[in-house]
Amino acid sequence: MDRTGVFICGGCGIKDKTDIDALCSTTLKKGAIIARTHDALCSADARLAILEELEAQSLDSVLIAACSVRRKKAAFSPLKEKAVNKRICIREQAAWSRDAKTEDIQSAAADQICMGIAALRSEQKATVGFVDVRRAVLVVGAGLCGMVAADAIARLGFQVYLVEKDEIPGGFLKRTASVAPFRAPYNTPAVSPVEYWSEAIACNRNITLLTRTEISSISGQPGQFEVDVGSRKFVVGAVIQATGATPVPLESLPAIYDLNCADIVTGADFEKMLVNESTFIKPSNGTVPKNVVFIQCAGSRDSGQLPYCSRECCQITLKQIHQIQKIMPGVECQVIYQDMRTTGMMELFYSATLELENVSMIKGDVKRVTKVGDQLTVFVANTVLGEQIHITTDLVVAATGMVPNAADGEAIRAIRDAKLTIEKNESAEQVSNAQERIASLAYLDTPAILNLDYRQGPDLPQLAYRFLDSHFICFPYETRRTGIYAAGTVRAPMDIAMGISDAKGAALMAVQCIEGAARGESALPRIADIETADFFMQRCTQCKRCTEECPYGALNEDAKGTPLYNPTRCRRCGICLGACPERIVSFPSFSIDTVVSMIKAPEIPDEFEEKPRILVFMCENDAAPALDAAVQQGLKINPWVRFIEIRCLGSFHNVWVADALSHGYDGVLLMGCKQGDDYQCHNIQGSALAHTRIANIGETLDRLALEKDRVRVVEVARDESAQAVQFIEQFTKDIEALGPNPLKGF
Amino acid sequence: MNSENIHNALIIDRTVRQRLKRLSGANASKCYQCATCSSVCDLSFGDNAFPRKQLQWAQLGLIDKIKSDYAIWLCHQCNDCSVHCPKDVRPGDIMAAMRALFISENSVIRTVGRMYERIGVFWPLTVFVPIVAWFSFFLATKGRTEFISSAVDFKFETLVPHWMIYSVNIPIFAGALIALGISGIRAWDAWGAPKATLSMKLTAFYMAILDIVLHRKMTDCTTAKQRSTGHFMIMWGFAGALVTTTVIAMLLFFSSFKLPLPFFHPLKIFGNIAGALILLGGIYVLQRRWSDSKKMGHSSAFDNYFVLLIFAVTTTGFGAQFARMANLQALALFVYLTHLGLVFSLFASLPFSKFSHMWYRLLAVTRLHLNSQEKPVRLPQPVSVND
Repeated sequence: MDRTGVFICGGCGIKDKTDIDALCSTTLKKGAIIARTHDALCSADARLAILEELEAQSLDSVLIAACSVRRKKAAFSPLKEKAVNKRICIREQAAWSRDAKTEDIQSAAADQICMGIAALRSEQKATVGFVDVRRAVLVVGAGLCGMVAADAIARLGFQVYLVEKDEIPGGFLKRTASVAPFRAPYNTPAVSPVEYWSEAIACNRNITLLTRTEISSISGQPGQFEVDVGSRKFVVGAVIQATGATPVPLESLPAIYDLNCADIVTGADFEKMLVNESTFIKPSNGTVPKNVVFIQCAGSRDSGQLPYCSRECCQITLKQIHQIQKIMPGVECQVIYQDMRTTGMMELFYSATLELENVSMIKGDVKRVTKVGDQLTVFVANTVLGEQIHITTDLVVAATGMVPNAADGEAIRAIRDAKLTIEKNESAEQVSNAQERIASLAYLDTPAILNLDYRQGPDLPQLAYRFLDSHFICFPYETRRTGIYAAGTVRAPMDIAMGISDAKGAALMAVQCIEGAARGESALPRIADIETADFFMQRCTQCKRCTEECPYGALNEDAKGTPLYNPTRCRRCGICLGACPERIVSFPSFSIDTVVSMIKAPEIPDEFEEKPRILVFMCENDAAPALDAAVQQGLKINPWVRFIEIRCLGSFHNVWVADALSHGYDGVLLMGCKQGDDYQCHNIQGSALAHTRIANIGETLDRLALEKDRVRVVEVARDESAQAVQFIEQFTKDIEALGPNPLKGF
Repeated sequence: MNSENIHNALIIDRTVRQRLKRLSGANASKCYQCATCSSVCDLSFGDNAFPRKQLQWAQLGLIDKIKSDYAIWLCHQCNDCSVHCPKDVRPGDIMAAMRALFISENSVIRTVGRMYERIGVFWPLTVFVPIVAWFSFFLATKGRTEFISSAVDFKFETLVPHWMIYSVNIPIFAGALIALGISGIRAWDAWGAPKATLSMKLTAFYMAILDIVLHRKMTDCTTAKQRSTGHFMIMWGFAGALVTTTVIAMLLFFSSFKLPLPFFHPLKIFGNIAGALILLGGIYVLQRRWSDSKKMGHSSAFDNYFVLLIFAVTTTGFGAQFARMANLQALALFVYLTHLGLVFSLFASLPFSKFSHMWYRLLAVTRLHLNSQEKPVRLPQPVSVND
């Protein structure tokens, strides 16, 4: 881009803090074709003026220097179609945030604008890569969620292939006579919705139901997945995995349950005993029980191997009590619980259950379930009375939780790799490491379900507690494989009402993904981004770093390890760019060069001026908005700091550290999202990658004879605005203590 | 799980829960232990969690806990808890049912206690058998011939001799008192009274009597405040009637005293005022109970039997008197014999029916006074939300 016009906004107090005319002349010196100002660039007349200038000066790119890029998006989006445009923030990142002398605020604003011009210089115009999409969706699993999702998609006119491994659709719920209520008035069990949805999908000619079918392979990318189910092959645009969950079996209950007693059953077993809605009998001797004790959270939460709440067991127990009281009104039902988790409308069902005769709820921890003499007895401690009680009973129903029917693709791949290593048998150390890895992952070594032809493994990666969740807070339904969505109990523990809404949500996400792919646009988080990554293959050394580190499995490999890029799988996070040691990855508006030019754009004052310069790289997802918020709350930032926003901390390339320090910056601070199990990173591991990469940078700094402390990585969550400012403040102080960068002025 | 722990464990008794449900008409299972009842209860202080803890006992049917707790007898069922309970569990009614259960469990003859616990079923037995007996007695003795010969001087004495009444009523009343006394001692032991000297016990007893005769606690009630007035009238009326009867019995035994007394005889006036108090109080209580059960609490058969029996005894007493004065001889005789039967029922029910609450409550309040040194500092009074 060589014909850039710069438009500087003077509104929102920017012109009070800075000398706009001086900014304009600086801009022109840096090579802008024109520089214009306006008191409110976001206004309609300003937009018209910009468009006129575009025509008049035949500009190919526009730089807007105004408020944060996260503000007034709608006002500036019409420019997108006319020219390459970039926004630089001089309001939050200069005028509002610096509590300093006018000349320092001025230079902060000028530097940010110079960076913008420099970036535009090395940017390319993005071309839309249209994809010929197939408007069809594969839904895996014809349980409730699968059927609801299929129905929702088919109603939008898309073709649906609904694959079910069982003989008939219905999934887990087809084995139940009634279910907990999922509609008003929520006070009595409802008929299982499975029949309704089975009919709905049978009547819909957009839906092809394939029963007794499993998936042999899925290859390709969103818009064009090629699916092979053995009997036939077809192409779909997106995939929904709704494979449901399985109840924990009796054998997995903790040792406090004396499983020699035949009269202990799980909630799911008891469901089968109730399926005819007639009398039920004790498994041990066939007599009719006089009383039933339900134990909630059996094997879950504090008391077992499932650390989480499965969300549905409480309502299922209540539902079963209703069934018992209906078919055998005299039977005593007692529920031992930690907390009854009947949230939302289920409170009404809970209250309705308490109105029944012969029902009592006992808060406490089950300590032992065993026979005392002939009598099955439940020992309960920590009751409200503060004393242990014991309850004799005929039947114990342990309400066990659910585990998702999912395979961990990444673990399967890791196990496969480890097995290959053992086969190759190159060194004893490698083999023993591989064996260790296989042992530690053994519990995840399950048969693949989706059989994806992905370098990252044949299934979706599992997150907490083996559910197929993605970025829970920001993107429900999303998984880490673009175009493949998880819905229902395979994504998170949920009840019927949630499952139905979950299925509809996933259906809409699938449709959105296909339509986005048709327009060449990215899925979340950089939604509507049309840029794709460019790999300069001549220089690729097949090191596989990009293919391994891509969090979305966008890159496959050929036999030699050359990356094969699937543009519609890509979310444009730039982690491959940060990974590549050969620097062959670039995006039109984000590449090694654009960032290097930004780094080098500002002039660095020499050490005698005593004006240090700190360069802060901020992740655009959390750190940058957090800092915006801090400034909008009135917090002030040190005047020596300059900002560059990047797509993800994972897209940070280490070469930029060397460039920044050799240009004369005194320190480089990287601000990314929280890592770890409860990560906030929109691209899952970007922040973690940055930590490892920066830890390895010591060598480079040694070569430059610089202190390691001049580079730091910190983590800021979206709501930690005050901490964001504190991190910058602390880093600036530490750098001042270190003294000026010795390379300054070279 | 060793055997010792099993021994210490509390055993859930499902039948107790059903009995409480039958007595109260309320379902303790609905309670989710939010402790709103405790926070509005005047009797809840420190960490005694009253009546929340008692509600949990009711839920689990822990009969031993109920039997060894005197606090349930401190509750006068002001029903603050019942009106504030978010789940409509009606703790006040459940507490009343626990007291009924206590009476039943604590009775000297358990079978009879159980029978009175289900008085809604058995009341024809306890009411009609004595009445029929008195009628049979009358028909089998010379009273009948006297009545048929229609002597001019119509006197109850000539129809049913006083010696007969005394020989029935004095033993039954004495027996009832003894039975009640034994039950009281059992309860006192079960409550585990603190060690105290006799004088301390007597002082506490005296203070308890003062509390009760002056209705000190009951007048504190807000939600069910009308109950105090009715109870006050019935209690004093009953005491008056008891005194009159005793005095007359004494006079008959030890002097040449002759019945009937003229209408304006001081004893007669005193007795009639006492009876009128019972009647008015009874009407007031019954009217309040039956018209506003939300505030006043549920009226179970156990409650109704006692109130109605006193009411019926008084009514028949007045009826016999007025019929005699109006010289409606047959009616007077009929009502008189019914009255005698009802008096028997009332005396007989003393240790088993709600009648016995006067004794248990007196003991419980004594126990509280005895305990007052250990009583924790009272928390500030809760602000009443409704008033």
